[in-house]
Order: sequence, then structure tokens, then C-alpha cells
Amino acid sequence: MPEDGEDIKDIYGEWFRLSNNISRRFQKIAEEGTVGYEEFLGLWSEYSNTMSEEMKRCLTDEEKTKDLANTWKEYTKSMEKHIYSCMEGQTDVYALWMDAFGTWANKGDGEGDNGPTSQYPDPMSFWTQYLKGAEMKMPGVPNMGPDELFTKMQEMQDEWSKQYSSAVKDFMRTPAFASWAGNMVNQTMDSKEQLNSMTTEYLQFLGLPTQSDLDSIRLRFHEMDKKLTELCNMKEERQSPEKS
Amino acid sequence: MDSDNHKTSTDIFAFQRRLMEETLAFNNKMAKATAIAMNPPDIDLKGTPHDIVYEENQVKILHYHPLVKDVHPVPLVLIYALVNKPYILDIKPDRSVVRSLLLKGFDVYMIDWGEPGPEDKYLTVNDYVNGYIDRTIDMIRKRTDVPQVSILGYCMGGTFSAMYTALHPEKVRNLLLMAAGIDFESDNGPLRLWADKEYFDVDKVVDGFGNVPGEFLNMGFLLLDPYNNLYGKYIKILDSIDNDDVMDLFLRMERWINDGVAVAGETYREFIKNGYQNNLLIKNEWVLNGQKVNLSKIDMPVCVIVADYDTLVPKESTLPFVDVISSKDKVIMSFPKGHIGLSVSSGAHRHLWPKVAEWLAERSGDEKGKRKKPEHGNLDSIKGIGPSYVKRLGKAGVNNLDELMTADMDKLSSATGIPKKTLNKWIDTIK
Repeated sequence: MPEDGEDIKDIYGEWFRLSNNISRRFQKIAEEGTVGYEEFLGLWSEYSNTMSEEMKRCLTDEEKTKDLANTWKEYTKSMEKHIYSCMEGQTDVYALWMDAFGTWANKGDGEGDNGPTSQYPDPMSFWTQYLKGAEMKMPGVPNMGPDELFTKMQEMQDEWSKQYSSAVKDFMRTPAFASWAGNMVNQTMDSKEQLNSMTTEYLQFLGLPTQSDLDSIRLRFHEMDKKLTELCNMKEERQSPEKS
Repeated sequence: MDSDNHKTSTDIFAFQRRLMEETLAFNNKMAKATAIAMNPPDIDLKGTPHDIVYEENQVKILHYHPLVKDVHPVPLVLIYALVNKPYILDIKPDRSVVRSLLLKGFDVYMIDWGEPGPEDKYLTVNDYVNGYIDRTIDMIRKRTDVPQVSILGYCMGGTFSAMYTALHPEKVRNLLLMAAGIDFESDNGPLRLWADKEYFDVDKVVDGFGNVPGEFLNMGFLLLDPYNNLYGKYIKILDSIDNDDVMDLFLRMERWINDGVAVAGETYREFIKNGYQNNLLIKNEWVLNGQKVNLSKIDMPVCVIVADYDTLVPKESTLPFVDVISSKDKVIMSFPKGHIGLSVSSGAHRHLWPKVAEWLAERSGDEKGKRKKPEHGNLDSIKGIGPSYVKRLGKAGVNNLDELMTADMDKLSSATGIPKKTLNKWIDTIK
């Protein structure tokens, strides 16, 4: 059994090495200047997930660490939302990550790109520093008080509703939906027709009037009604000249 | 560092508290909404006081009691769509088109189509236009002793009104169309796409259903904006759950939306095929009772009211109407609302309807209490000329007394089959 704290130290080491690699991938992409918004989001999401998983592994019973993990989780969420809602802010967010993570990575890594380090940085101080940096570089998100953050979330929800509604409306205007809806109606009507024909057979068997029997009577009534109206008009016309 | 951590933790706790408070408030609103949904309050939909002055089959003609002393001499007939019920035009006093018009001194009638029974499945567009509408207009003309009426047609009722006016221009003093589908090819809305013959087999629907159920039609309308119609508006209204006025209108609207009526099967088939699928009306090729509906026969003052955000009947499908009619006196009133917002929004009642009323008042008589004779005499104002002769003369291009007076009697007689002697007798009467 490793001594107390040794296993955590190892996990930190693994986590740091992994993070450092990802950080360098970001750095490389940034230098090449080829990263697009979607690529960035993909990488960022991959990075966040990895970090999140690793952070879970780092959790101990120490209350402070737990609090920090929760803080980080909340913060990540809020920043993710911020990225989606403010596309124009992506460059700032990206620079923030690069600055904060790069500083931390360079400080901790004494043996090159992938090599292990003998002196691991304190994750608590890193995240505290990170959040502090974020406060300065992302005005509007970390500086938000709870009420502001809540309002922001509501705004995001409204915006999401608006975009979702618009997307669904657009979809409804596509030939693909029209075709699907048409098929649905046709299938429903086919089923109804089958049901109608079964009912008709049953009624015929019982010697009761069917739908088509009633329809033929209705049609006769309709035609009679029209004929009567026509006759009334003619009668009126015939009577009127006599009066004049 | 400690103070920073402490601050972050405090914020998170405060945020969590706020979240819990909001969740609690939301739950309370939901509880109220559920209580309302389980026991909805009684909503008085009787509307502005009126009498039923004519009934035929399911159709009722409502005549509203005047709200002012002096009434414009030319009566105004409101013709609503066959789908849904016409009380959208009189949904509540402060949002009532009927009431707005009554307060401006109009003598208002409205056609309530009722709900067709199975026996009505063979009713066609002709039965509505040349049947119910024509008999209604004749009844009102006789009742009020005026030769012409004004017509305000809304939605599908607007399409019918345009048809009626083209066929019987001598009976219409002013025509107002409100969100009425006329040129279905210019319609860029989803309904036009869904009704395309490539996707929609209208025969299958009518043959299967008979009369096309209101629920089926309503589902189509809800799918125009599914997120808001099926979810968003119910979330949004929670914010106004304690506002009685807003809730009252909301509940009335909900009632109306879900109070759809079936459409007579053959009418639906004809409307989809001739309108949405073949666009016959704008081409003057829609035939009713053997006669093409020629929109260029519409020569009286026309007011076209469209909604900028109408997805049901996009304004693009109404506006071409003004280019094909021969009226010189015509106006377009465009309003930044949706299809229903035209009739129920507070903005429409503040800005649109006063303008419409002003336009119509200027064309509804020389002055209050006096009646103005029509520029062209009605054919049926001559004894002996009834609806059947009017139709026959109309087919031969004679729609009013002026045209009858100047027509070639020999040609007219052979075109209509009416003896020359009878024609001459009418001419003598006119003279």
C-alpha cells in the first residue's frame, strides 16, 4: 500500500502530463492559426472532459479540494454557456485558456514536453490563480454576482428558446418535413380506410346501413336542396315580370 | 487565497439559494396553472349583444346592437373563415373588432357558419359563395333597404368575399380583405408547401374523413410554430399567472384555438385543389356555378389588410390581389403582427382599427343617416330580374343597369337565352 498522499501525488502527475500535452496541442494549433470555432469547441470540450475526469480522480476527502472541484465545475459550465452565447468572445476565451494554462504548465514542467516532473504545482493555487485571471480577462462572467448570473442564465434560456423555435420552424418549412407529414397523413388515412371497410363489411353482414348508404342519401338531399333553390329562384323570376 | 476561495464559495451558495427560490416560485406558478387547467373559470363568450336575424341550415346571421346613435347607412358584413369560430372578432370587449366598428357607427352583421354536419359534406365553395353569402347579402339589403353592403372578409372568409364580390359587384359597396389568401403561388408559408400535391393527397383525406375535422386542421396550424404553440407560450404565460387581464385573454384565446370546426369535405377538397395546388383564383380560372370568378370585375373601393408576420396566410399571397382588380380606390394597410394579432392585439385596436374605420366611414354614405345611391344600379333592383337572371346576364358580361342599357339586345338575347321581349321590357322599366 502506498503511503498516505503518495497515490494522489501520482494521479496529479498523470493529470499534469496529460493536461500539458493537450495544452501544447492548443498552442500548436494557435500558432498555425488554423483553428476554427467548431474545432476549437471540440478540442475545448475534449480537454474539459478529460480534465473533469481527472479532477474526479484527484478528489480526496479534503473539504477544500471538494469545494474547489465544485467551483471549477460551475465555472466551466458558466464559461461554456458564455462561449455559446457570445461567439465573438471566443478569441478572448481561447487566449485566457492559453495564458492561464500555459503559465501553469511551463512552471510545472521541468523536463520537456512529456516528461514527468519532480515538483508538481499545487492544483489549488493553480485554479485559484486561474479563476482570478478569468475574472480579469472575462468581464461579465466570473465577476457576476448570483443575481446577475441568474439573469444571464435566463437570458441564455430565452435565447436558446428563440433559436430552437426558429430552427424548428425552419425545419417545418423543408420539403423533407412536408414529405414526412404527407406520408404520415397517408398512412393514417390508409388505416382509417381499412377500418372503414371492416366496419362496412360488418354492417352489411348485420343488414344495417353503411357509411356509403348514408352518403348516397346525403348526396340526394344535397342535390334536391340545390334543385329546390333553383326552382324557387325561377318561380320568383316568373312571378315578378307578371307583376310588373 | 483564503479570502478568494471564501468569496467564490459565498457566491455559489448565494447562487444556489437564488436558484432554489426561483425553482420554488416556478413550482408555485405551475401549481396555480395546474389548478386553472383542472378547473378553468367560466368564460363568457356571448360577445357584444346581438340578435340572430337569419338562419339557414347551420348558418346563423348575427346582427349587433348599435352602440352609437347615428349609424352609417351602408351595413357592414363580416365574413370569417370556415375553420375556427368567428368569435375571434369579438373575443372580449377591449379586443373586439366588432365592438370597435360598432363604436365607430357601423351597422355590423356577421356570418357564423356553424359546424357542418355529416349531411353537409357535399357542400362546395359555390354553395357558400353563391348560396349562403349571396342569400345573406340579399337578406341584409332587403332588411336595411340599401342596394349595397360593405364586406369585411377575414382569412378564408376573405377569399370567399373576393369571389363573391367578383361575381356580384353590384351588391358590394366596399370590400375589405383581411389576411385573405388570393395568390397561393406567392404564398411562401408552410401551409402552401404542405398542401403541395407532391406531398398531400387531399382526396385521400376527404374520402376518409368526409368532413375534415377541426382537430386535423388545428394540428396543421399548431405545427406552423410548434415550439411556441405547444410549449413556449405555456411557459411564458406563467410569468403573468397573477395578471387577471392577461390570463383572461390567454384563456379566451386557448378556448378559441381549441374550438375548431370541421370543414365540409367537398369545400375543403376544392379549396386545396383550386387554391393551394392549382392557384386558380388569381388566374381568374376558378369556376363557380359554371362561371369563372373574374377578379377584374371588382371595381369598388378596396382595403387590403395584411399582417407582416403572418405565417398562416403570408401577406405575399394577399397583396397581388390589388394588382388584378380594376378598383381605382384601393389601399393596403400592413400591420406588424401575426394572423390573429390583426384582430386581437392591443396594438391593432389602438392603431389599425381606427384607421380601417376611418377609411370605411368615408365610403359608407354621404353623411350619417343618409344613404347614397350606388354608381351603378343593381340588376335585381328591376322587377323580374332575380338571382338566376343576374347570373345569366353576368355570364354574358352584363353586371349592372348601365351595362344592360348599352348592351346589344340581339346578342344578349342569344347569349343568355332570355327573350328579347323580356330584355326590352326591363329596359323600359329602367327608363
